[in-house]
Amino acid sequence: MTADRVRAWAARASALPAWLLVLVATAQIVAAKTGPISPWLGGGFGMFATTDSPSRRHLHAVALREGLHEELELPEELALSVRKAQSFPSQRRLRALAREIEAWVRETDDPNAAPLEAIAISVYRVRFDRDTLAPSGEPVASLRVPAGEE
Amino acid sequence: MSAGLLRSIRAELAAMPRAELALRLLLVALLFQPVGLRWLRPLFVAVAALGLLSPRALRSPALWIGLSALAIVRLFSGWPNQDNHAFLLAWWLLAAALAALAGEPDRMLAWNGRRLIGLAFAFATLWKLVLSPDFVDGTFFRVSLVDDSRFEDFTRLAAGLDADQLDELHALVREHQDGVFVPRPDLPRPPVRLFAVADLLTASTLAVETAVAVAFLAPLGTWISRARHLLLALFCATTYALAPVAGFGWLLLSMGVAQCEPEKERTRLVYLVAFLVVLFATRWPWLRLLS
Repeated sequence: MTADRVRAWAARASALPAWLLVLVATAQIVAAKTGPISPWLGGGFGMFATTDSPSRRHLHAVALREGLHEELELPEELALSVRKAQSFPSQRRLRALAREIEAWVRETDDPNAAPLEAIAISVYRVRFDRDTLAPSGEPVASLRVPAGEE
Repeated sequence: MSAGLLRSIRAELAAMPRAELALRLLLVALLFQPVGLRWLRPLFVAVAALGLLSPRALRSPALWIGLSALAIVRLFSGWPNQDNHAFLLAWWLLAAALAALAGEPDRMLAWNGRRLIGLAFAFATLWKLVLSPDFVDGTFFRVSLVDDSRFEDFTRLAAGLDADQLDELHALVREHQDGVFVPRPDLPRPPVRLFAVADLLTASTLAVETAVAVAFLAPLGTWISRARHLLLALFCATTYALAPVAGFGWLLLSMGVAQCEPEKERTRLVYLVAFLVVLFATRWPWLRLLS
């Protein structure tokens, strides 16, 4: 491509950044209003617009064994995956996290523990009462992944 | 610093083409506040430093294509945890790359700067006014003032709370809940003044963000469009003095100054002062000293 053609192409594409902003922001609004992504993230300019920020969400991971529900305290090495799952708990991301958790459970498991049947993950957001500021949890997404599932 | 030196700096800033001034401010911002994951930061800093040290590199499309690529890598590598300004930075760097490639930096950056600011504020207003009921009814600021540590000094000063009261309210909003909250008699009661401050912040945020969106999207020459520089500088100087997110403020100021021709010397000065206000307000705990 000659220098003149590059210049002409770049001049024609001058509105591309503005179009990308509109496209990404619109997609983020649709995703946040119909799915579990936090409005704070994803390029839609919803930061500082709602109390549903990723840092106010929380996640429970439970190891399900024969007749037992064991709430897991996840290690620091899974912190980034947990943070991503809180921000955007899609089924795909929760499944990937469940696999990581299962691997960690198997690595650190007591050999005498009952066999692991599944990992269950739930992500909650918090809503606040306007007058008392009292918080109430509300599930955003959850998934139960059988152990050993590929 | 001598008066002569100040005069010569002022003359140089006044004579600088608007795109060059905007891009230099952006590079300074990237040096003050490197962005991206740990491995990306040195790359951003190195390319930004090169652009500031070499006038030839500053005008080279390669530098801006490189920075745009880094910004896009940053978006993907951090997905989904990237804030809005990571996206806005990527769009602005892409505009700089296209402007350098087209050989029309002044015109193209002025056009994109105006549109990007207007659209970003229009979407922010849409979220706050229409899509988030808990913003418009005041809940967002009522909770954030006691929960977000970035507002702590402001809350103590403006709402007249002492450290213990703030801790009690912070513990309340951070109480772990998986279901509906069951009230109990020992709950701390938020003071009326806290709610008044929060409601004032809600109304003023909505007013100024709507005004900035309209001013930057309105046709050039209208009275609201002529007020856009003042509105943006006011927004940055006041907002980022309270909420220390300097990178976003500097990014907006770089986009704003891209629209100031050399003859608008005073307007350029307003932007530079706003840049310094954001720098000092986010690095010097002036609210803590007052509270």
